Amino acid sequence: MTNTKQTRLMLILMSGILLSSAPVVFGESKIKGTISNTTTIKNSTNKAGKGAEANMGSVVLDNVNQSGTIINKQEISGVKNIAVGSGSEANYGSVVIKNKNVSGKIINIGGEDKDKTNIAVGGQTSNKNSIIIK
Amino acid sequence: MNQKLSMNVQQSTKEVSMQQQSTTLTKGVTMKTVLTFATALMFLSPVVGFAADSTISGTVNNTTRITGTQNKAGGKGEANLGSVKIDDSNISGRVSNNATIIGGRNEAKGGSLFGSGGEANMGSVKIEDSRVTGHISNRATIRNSRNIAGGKGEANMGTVTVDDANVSGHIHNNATITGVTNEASGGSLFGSGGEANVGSVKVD
Repeated sequence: MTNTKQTRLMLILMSGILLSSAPVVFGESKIKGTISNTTTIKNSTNKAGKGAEANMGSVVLDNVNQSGTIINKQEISGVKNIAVGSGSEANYGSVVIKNKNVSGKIINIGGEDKDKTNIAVGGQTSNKNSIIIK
Repeated sequence: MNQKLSMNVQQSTKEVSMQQQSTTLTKGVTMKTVLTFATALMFLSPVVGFAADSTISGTVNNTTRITGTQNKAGGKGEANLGSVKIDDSNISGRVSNNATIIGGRNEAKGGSLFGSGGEANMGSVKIEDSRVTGHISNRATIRNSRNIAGGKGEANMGTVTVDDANVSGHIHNNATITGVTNEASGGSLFGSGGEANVGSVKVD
């Protein structure tokens, strides 16, 4: 085998090792099991500025591998859920799933919709008692 | 002449074979070095990924009742009140938090220029860069309280947050929250933060 071939072989071997071992952990979460969120929220305020994301009585999965049921049950009244600024996303009583694999049922049970304010300004996403899959 | 020639040829052949030997030796050494390096990398890489500061085999249980308490953190700014936070760890067992917080004030300023800090957790479970084999449960009752995070700005109240983690087990969050303010300002100049979670489960 010539020097060049061996060097190439070594480089391929090294790259393979680096690529196969590095991304094992970082970047995403893995959940095997049910996710359940049961909340009662009254007369409360939830605010997020700058990058802005405000979640209230919600299940939010972003870049996640999940197998199992997702249950979100909430009773929310007299609240303000505000997200101002760049990304701006205000979710309440919602299940939001972004970029990922979920195998299982998704159940969202909302209570009476009463005296609630939900504001998202700027980047603007505002979800109330919803299931959002992106 | 012929003899001389043949001698010369023999010598040059010897030289060539010597050279070949030395080349093979160098290649052998290089291969060995590379293989050793590669093997070291193979062992090292998973360590980089799974390196855990703490390893716990058994239940992690936090049960608290907090009334009229102030908890403030300046500087890097991380304030935890009635919470469980697990970072860079390996847990084999159940993680549970059971918190009753009344009239509490939890504040993490983290007002630095680059905003590295500013994390306020109240009646919450937060798991980062970890592996948990077992159920995660958070039960929080929070009344008339304030939870404020400046700087990086992450405020969690009655929430389970899982970030870059591997969980084999159910995640349960049960929160009863009344009359509270939860605020993440993300107020530093370069702070990209600003995330406020109340009675939520967030996984990313």
